[in-house]
Amino acid sequence: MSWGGPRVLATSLYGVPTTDEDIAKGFALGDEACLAAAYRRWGSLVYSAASRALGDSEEAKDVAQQVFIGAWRGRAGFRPERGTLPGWLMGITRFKIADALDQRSRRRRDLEAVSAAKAEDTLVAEATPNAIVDQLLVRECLADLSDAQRQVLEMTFFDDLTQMQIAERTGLPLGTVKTHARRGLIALKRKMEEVDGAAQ
Amino acid sequence: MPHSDLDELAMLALGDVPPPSVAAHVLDCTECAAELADLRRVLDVGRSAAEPLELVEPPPEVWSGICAELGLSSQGADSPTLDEDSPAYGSRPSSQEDVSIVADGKAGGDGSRRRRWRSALALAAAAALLGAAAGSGLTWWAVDRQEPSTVAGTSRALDPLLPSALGSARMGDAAGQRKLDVKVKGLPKTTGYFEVWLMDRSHKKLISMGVLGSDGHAVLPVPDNVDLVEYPIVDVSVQEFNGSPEHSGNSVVRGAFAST
Ligand SMILES: [Zn+2]
Repeated sequence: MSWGGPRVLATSLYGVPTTDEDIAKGFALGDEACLAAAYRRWGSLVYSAASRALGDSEEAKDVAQQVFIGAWRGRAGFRPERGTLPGWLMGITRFKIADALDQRSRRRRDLEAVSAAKAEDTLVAEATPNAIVDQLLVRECLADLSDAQRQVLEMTFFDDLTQMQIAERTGLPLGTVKTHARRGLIALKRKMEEVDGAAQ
Repeated sequence: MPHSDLDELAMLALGDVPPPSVAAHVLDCTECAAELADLRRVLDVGRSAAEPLELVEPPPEVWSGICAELGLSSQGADSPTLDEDSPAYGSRPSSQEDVSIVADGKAGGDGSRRRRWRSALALAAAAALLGAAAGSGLTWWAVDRQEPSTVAGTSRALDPLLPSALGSARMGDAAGQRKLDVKVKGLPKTTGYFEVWLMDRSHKKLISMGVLGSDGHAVLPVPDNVDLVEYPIVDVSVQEFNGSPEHSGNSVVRGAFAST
């Protein structure tokens, strides 16, 4: 993992976290180095979700800032034993994106007399942010699985292969493929869980 | 009867044949049915992500803004460069693999059973459960109707769907519980009653929150497992006393509530 050279190497001597779990634990305890580490690790995930959902880099910057500020101030609501930090951050991201869209439609309402048809338009347009967050989050969580589980699930998801076909392609016994798929799916669900308080 | 093993539920989700007792249990047990629904949704989301979305680094002012707002002077000067490995699709250092193996080992255990996946995707199940409760005649919120206190804070105005109606709503804590505070003035005359709903942005998914008092005011408890990101809209409808648990289609006010 690249931590950006000697400067960061030096801080790591003072216990800068190196695993996602360490980052999450330190974050919950209020360790500022872990806020920086969390930003370094998931800042682009949060920003990309906001930027895609909002289609506006100024608003996305604002949302990304609010997510980390809100997460830090609300860290008492985050329990590492109950969910992952990226899951929690993405929960807050959903909330802030929805807020930004609300503000946008309120601004629009202020600017023009809104017909019912126009109001419906925005509602339809707002249906996708959750899907964007989900897709980014599932990719993020997939990358976190063991190689074997990730490979089997990627073939299941993206190549739409049956477990038998995966066994043929990989040369793994069918039973092993099934085990990887099951364990991987369960681990993926666990990683994607957003803990209580994510929407605060 | 004991709950199904998560491993067995995953078999069902993946289209494998689990022991016959598992399929039977899921039909009877809402908790295991919800777990299974969550696993299936993970599969659906996974399939929907076949086209990878590229990650974009936030511009440096995002981090400096965070530090400024939080008063983190020490970090401000020392803006973290983004981790080169952080794009989600890259490979991970071996320490990460160790962590996930440990996590995997635990995943089937009891510790994960009670965790609910709180994303928008889990809501269909939650809504179904709440809907089932609401339709049973004895609604879950009826148990907890005390004199409305109020939720502190400023309400947000709701859009009038009848010209006379003036509504406002806010969500916040009252007596340690999440509550929705709704007020509507200028209610139309009715032989029925006014019902308060939370709905998603498409207005397709609804959860009944309770009934508006005759004074046009209600403070209604909102269960923790209702995801407000997915249900950001409050709606007040006129309902007839016809025994139907459905929304009548006649709304008085609707809009986003304020969060306090
Ligand atoms: Zn069960």
